[in-house]
Amino acid sequence: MTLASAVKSIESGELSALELTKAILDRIDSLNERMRVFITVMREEALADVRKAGPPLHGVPLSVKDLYDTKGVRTTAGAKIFADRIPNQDAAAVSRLKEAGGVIVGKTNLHEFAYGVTSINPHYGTPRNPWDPDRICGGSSGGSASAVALGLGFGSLGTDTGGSIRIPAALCGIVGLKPTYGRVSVRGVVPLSWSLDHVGPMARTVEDVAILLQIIDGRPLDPLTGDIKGVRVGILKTYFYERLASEVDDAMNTALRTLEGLGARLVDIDLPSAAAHRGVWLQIASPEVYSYHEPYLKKHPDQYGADILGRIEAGRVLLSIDYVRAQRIRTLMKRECKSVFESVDVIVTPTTPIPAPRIDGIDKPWGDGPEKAATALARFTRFFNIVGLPAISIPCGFTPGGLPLGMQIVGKPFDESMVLRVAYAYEQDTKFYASKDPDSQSR
Amino acid sequence: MPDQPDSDNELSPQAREFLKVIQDDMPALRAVDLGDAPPATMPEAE
Repeated sequence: MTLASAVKSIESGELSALELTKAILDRIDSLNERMRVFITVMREEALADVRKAGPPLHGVPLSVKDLYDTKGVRTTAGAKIFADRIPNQDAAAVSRLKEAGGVIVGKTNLHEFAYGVTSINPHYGTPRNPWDPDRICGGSSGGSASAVALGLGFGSLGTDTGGSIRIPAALCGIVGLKPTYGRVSVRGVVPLSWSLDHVGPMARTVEDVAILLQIIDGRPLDPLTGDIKGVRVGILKTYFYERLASEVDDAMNTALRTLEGLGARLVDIDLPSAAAHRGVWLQIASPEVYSYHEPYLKKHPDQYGADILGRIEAGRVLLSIDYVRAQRIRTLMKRECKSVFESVDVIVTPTTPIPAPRIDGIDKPWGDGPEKAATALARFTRFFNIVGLPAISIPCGFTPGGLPLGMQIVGKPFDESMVLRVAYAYEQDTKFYASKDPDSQSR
Repeated sequence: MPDQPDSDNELSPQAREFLKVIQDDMPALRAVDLGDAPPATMPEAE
């Protein structure tokens, strides 16, 4: 069941929001010890909130990444050092969900301080991929993606600094949207890197994500029509279609033919500056991350996981001139994107070059080359954090072994409507969200 | 001219390893012709 259909069923009286919430909470209880999806389950708060929930969401159960402040409920950021941190107000996006009648059933697990793409967490356990629990669910919003895929709520809020909404969405077979930088308020969300951080919705379908975006943003979007005749789809032949796992390559070839069949026009484009984007991201993110953590790190370095400690520490010694250089290249990248978007309406790429890696394989090369699996995951997402463009990941097929794959659709600044329009048309034609269920996989 | 300040010497082995990853990407960044580009403190909306 999707969020949209759950809301309709509650509204019509066919379903009770209270009973639905109880059922979701019971399902969380039955799965969470094994799947490690939630850090904190908000049973009491959810059962109280659902009794007073009104339109437009009418008490539909949702979750939020444990990076969003929740009034009176601990917000750990997946970190030991914040294990007992209890905010005195909700994050702006959480307030909007609640005001719209959304019921928060829990705070989802994540990569510690959102600084990584695996969600392997030394403090709260590692959230598992619903399609194969021996594999990562991606990150850093891994618990949110896994929760949605497992039916533990009808949507979730994630955050995205280098791909942290889109990567887990792709690896778990759901939809995740990183809106334009600055579109949705980050107030009350523990920062990772201020100038790269985005917040956004995750859900089973494009329609559900559109509903949630309108609530947390407050501005209306164009209606979803399913018509993309004449839409110009940019295909980046260099970099973004290189070094792909064969399953991803096959799925993307099929997806592009599908878009063409729906009336879209494929246009070859190029973003040469993308080749340097990892260095730019690291030079910008590293000092920003260190700056936030400095006071905590000086007092309690022992409370940080080994995985992120060295990466945070490195940000202390980078040269300011290199930060400025990276910010100037960022301007060139944005100019390049502006120029490209004069000839296309959206850009389409794979979300990740590989399907979900095994938990014990993230530091191993994924193919014949030297690239580690964990390193590969953000290769196609990070660039769009640097330039701040809206980008969605939607399911685009499965590997022969049954692992989901994701396609990324990127738009012009504040043109989420076009991104969602293309995503919706593709989804309506393929309906991957309805074709398989992780419950049918062994777990 | 040194590449890093003296405090580099106080870094943990893990931080040094990560620093090497960052430094490996620097030649590509230094090769970019910056022209008249100012720093982007925020992505431009249009």
